Amino acid sequence: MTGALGDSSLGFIIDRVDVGILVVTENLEVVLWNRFMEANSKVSTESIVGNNLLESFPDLPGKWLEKKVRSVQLLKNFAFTSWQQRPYLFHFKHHRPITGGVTHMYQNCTFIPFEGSDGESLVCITLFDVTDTAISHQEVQQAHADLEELSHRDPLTGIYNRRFMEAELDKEFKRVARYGGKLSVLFLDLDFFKKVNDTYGHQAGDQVLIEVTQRINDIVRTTDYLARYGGEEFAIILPETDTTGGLIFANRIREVIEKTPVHFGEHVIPVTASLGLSEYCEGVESYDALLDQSDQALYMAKKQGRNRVVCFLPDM
Amino acid sequence: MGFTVKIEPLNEEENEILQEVINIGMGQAGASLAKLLDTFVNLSVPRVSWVNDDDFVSKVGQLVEGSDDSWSGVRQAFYNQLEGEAFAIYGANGCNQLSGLMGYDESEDMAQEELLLDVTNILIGACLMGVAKQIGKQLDFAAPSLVGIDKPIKELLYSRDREWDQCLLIEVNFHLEESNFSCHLVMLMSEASIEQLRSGLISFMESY
Repeated sequence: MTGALGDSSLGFIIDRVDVGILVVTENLEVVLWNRFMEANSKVSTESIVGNNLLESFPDLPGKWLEKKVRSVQLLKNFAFTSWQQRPYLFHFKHHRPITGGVTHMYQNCTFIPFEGSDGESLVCITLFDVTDTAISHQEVQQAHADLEELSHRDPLTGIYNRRFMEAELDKEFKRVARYGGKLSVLFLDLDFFKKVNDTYGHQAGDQVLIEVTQRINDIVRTTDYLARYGGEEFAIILPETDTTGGLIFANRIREVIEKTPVHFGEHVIPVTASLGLSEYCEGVESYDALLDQSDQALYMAKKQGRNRVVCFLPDM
Repeated sequence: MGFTVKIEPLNEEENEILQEVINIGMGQAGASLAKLLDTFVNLSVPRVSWVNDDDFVSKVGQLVEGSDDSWSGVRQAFYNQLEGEAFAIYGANGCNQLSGLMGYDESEDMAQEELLLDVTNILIGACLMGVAKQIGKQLDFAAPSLVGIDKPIKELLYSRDREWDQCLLIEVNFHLEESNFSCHLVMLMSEASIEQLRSGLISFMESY
């Protein structure tokens, strides 16, 4: 393994390799402390060799370390720590004083048991700086989370899209079907929206959708799910809400939309909405069926003259 | 089917010795674990079989069987004269009492995940070192990593474009008395290890 290299060459390499290396006895007395350890800890080799590791580093997880060292000695087997579970063993400064983004050096460690020249039981601990790996991993995780969030959203209004809403409704539906509780679904469709687009242009139509979304968003509770279901159609999941509560809520939305026209350039665009409500009751087989009921109620609201709320009835 | 064996598989006699070597190795692993954990360790008789890439996942699924549909798994690679990958698979109950088992108290604030990795490293290390020592082969380990928490077995063992046709599968079941702790260890040795394994088995046999 060592080839033709003498002890002094090996000593040099151990000292200068870009990895933290320390050797401790079973009582955690330090036997070896290389330059990486010295430079990062600011504790000199002279001052620590022969002394107890925990006395110089009272912040180390002492009991844990003692057990780790004991177990590798007993089993004569390597042990590892990973930054993902234990960000660091020694609290060292990172090497990114300019680029930053972290508060400490992330470390992967290996514990290697071996026998010293006098037969004493020793453990070599190696310490790798994996800060860059940790940072890029966290960046990928963050990008993944951002993309996931984005895939749930409608790009124009920023509220949930149909796919996400249906997935959440499915969960809510299964919850009430299994454990009981209340659940209502409200459909909302803007009246004569095509006329807005035809008269004022699509940008005006977009502005109407954005503003109406804001008005509804101001009213919904944090536990409700507001989604753009399609073109000018919105769906709102109302957990723990029965028909009575749902009707009050739906009429508040209808009134706010009617009361506040949308301003676009010099135009003042009046907007109204029709709403269909249905509440979960036993016998409704799936979330699809619940959506369908709300849709039927919405159809009735349109048929009865628009700008109104209709609640689903079984004999519709 | 991908069953093109480039290397002569072990013959019947070699398979018998292999089973014997593994039995002894696991027995020693059990003894040293018992010493570390200060409790009696029950080990099932190791099951040794050859699997090919098509039936690997379903075979492991059968081995761990039971009614659990969610498992936690840790993977650890080993290399040098013998090489392959080992999995420790824990059922929902397996992970409980881990910290008590390892003698950690709550103030030490060990994360559950770190415990899983720690215990896996100890179990896999003890078992494979036991086998390698019997046949005089060198073995090194990479750091263990989590493959999943509370997932179906198929997702835990999912792999991309397997490059092997068949491999040696060793399965052993751990159970600790005085606690509910149990886990399955599945160790897979690649084709590249077979010649080393054979030479080791021959010298093991000759030493008796």
